[in-house]
Amino acid sequence: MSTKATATGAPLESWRRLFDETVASLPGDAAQRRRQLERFMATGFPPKKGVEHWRYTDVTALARTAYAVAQRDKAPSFRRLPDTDYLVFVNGHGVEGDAARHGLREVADSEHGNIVALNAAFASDGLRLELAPGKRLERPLYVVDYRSGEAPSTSHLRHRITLGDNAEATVILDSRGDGHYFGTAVLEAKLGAGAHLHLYRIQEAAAGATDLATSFVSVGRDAAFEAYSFDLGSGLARHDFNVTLAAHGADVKVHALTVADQRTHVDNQVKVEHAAPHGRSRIDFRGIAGGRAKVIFDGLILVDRGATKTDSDQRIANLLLSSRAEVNAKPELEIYNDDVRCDHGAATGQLDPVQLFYLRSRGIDEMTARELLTLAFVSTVLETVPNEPLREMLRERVGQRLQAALAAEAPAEASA
Amino acid sequence: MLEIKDLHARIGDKEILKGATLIVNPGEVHAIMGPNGAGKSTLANVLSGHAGYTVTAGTATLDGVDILSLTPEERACRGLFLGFQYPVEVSGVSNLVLLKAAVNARHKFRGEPEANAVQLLAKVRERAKQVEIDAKMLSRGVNEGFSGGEKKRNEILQMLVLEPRLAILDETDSGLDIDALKVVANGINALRSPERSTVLVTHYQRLLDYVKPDYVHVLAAGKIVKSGGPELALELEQRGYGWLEEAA
Repeated sequence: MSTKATATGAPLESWRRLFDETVASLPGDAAQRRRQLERFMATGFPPKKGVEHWRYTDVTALARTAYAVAQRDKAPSFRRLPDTDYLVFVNGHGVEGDAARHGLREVADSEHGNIVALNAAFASDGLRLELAPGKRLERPLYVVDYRSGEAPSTSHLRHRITLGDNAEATVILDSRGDGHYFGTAVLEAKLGAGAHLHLYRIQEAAAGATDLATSFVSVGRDAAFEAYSFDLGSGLARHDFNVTLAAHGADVKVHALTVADQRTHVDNQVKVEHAAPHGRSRIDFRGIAGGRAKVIFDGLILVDRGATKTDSDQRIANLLLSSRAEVNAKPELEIYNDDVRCDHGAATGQLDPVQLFYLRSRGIDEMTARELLTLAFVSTVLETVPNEPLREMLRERVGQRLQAALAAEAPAEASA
Repeated sequence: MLEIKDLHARIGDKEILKGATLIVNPGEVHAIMGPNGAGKSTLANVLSGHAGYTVTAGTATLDGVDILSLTPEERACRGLFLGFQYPVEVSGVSNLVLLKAAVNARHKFRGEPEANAVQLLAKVRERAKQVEIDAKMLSRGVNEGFSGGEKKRNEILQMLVLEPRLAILDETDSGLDIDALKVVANGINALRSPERSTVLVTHYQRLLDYVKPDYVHVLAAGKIVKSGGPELALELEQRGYGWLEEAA
């Protein structure tokens, strides 16, 4: 309650007070956390203007809102996949799963400011997956990150995945919630030589939520990193996804899908840096925007001077369901050597009226026809999911999201 | 079954149909022939509800129901089928998914429960065999990567599964070699019955060697300018359309 009463000072001061109130209950070295807090205080939230890669996403309201630290709570019920291990976080605290797989000892100092620094100061728990060389995680690890808030609440998770040489794992990070909350999650992952990581990120934040995720993934020699990203939420969500091909022959694939409607705001900033030779990267993004939604996708492929024989490809395709929806998609290339093959393309369009008529001429009603065509549009991303029960669950969740988005368009677009 | 009276239709400012009149009774096969640009495809598209055309005058009824005010899907559920001149590729929607959705749309329209999936699959497989479409192609995207002939056979497959009361086949014979033409013709003949009718829109009389029409009409400059029996098709083959276009 005290945070609410004192939220009138300089905007960021409320965050300092919040820190003072909670630091004692946070794990690790308090002095180190305070250094991170000061870094955050110095850098703040990204401003409305002036920072190129934040130009479409305004999070300045976070400074003006009086947040309280989210309360510990029980896990909500959710459907479970077979042959899968679960780790459940509620409002920033692990409440279910192998205790060895989560917890924070300390958050190392880093130069990152803004939200990453805020997260470092406040993070209360997180996934901790360390696999020794050659070790394979037999079952997928499904991490549920549930957050809630009746009054504005905030919670922060710090995940770490370390795969030794030739280790293999599948990890699913599924963030969802109810009510009014601001959550951050920072992931640091490191893949040793020949390691394989399949990482899923599913974002289904509530309409009143701000969900900010930042990931740093370093991919080692001949290691393979395959990322699947599904933004299905209704609130404001952003993912800063930084992947580095750190050693010779690294392979990176990013498959991403966003479905947004109403006033949903989804911002994906993917940065793939080729820092070593013979790296291969693929980015495939598909976005669907209805209502007054805003979908942003920036994909930057950065090829360093030494990253010869780089092979990269980036594809962006968007589907607009409404004239008031907005998509800002930008594939970017920054290349500092000549010996590379880099390709990219971006397209934004609407449902094909010829296909729509073809389906309707077969007796399929307009709504179902639209649904079939939008599902077809996203199927290229869904089909890449190798784990079948997971793929089917995603297909269902994406399908439900699409139905809602299409139903919202129906009155305005109804025509024979 | 189908009654078209004095139908006028346009695309944008261009009037294409200028008073077409045609009556098709149950069990009959009609062939509509005519030169390029006469309005044959327009007639087929207008009847099936393509939004690109505006009907400016006239009527079209199916079993007494004014179809021009219905959505394309309602017309289809009432028994109308359009075989497309250029079948559309729909990647990501498999042939089976399309057929299942189309069959169930009809069930829903008639207030019946959904079709039994196993029985439907068996039926689709059997019909696919009939038009020489490999079962494996059924799970591929609709017409995706199909050859021209495969696309046309796929239209016939859809027709055989959906069992329309009135099929309008728009140049289903064009671009087919003789073997494919026979397969398509067999498919059309398989559905002939006293309750069903077929309208073949075609440029050449070749198809009519295999699907015997009851009536042949010539559409020129947006109107039916001549009607007759099968012998008219042969006459057109010899004399061309010039003499009729002048008459129109």
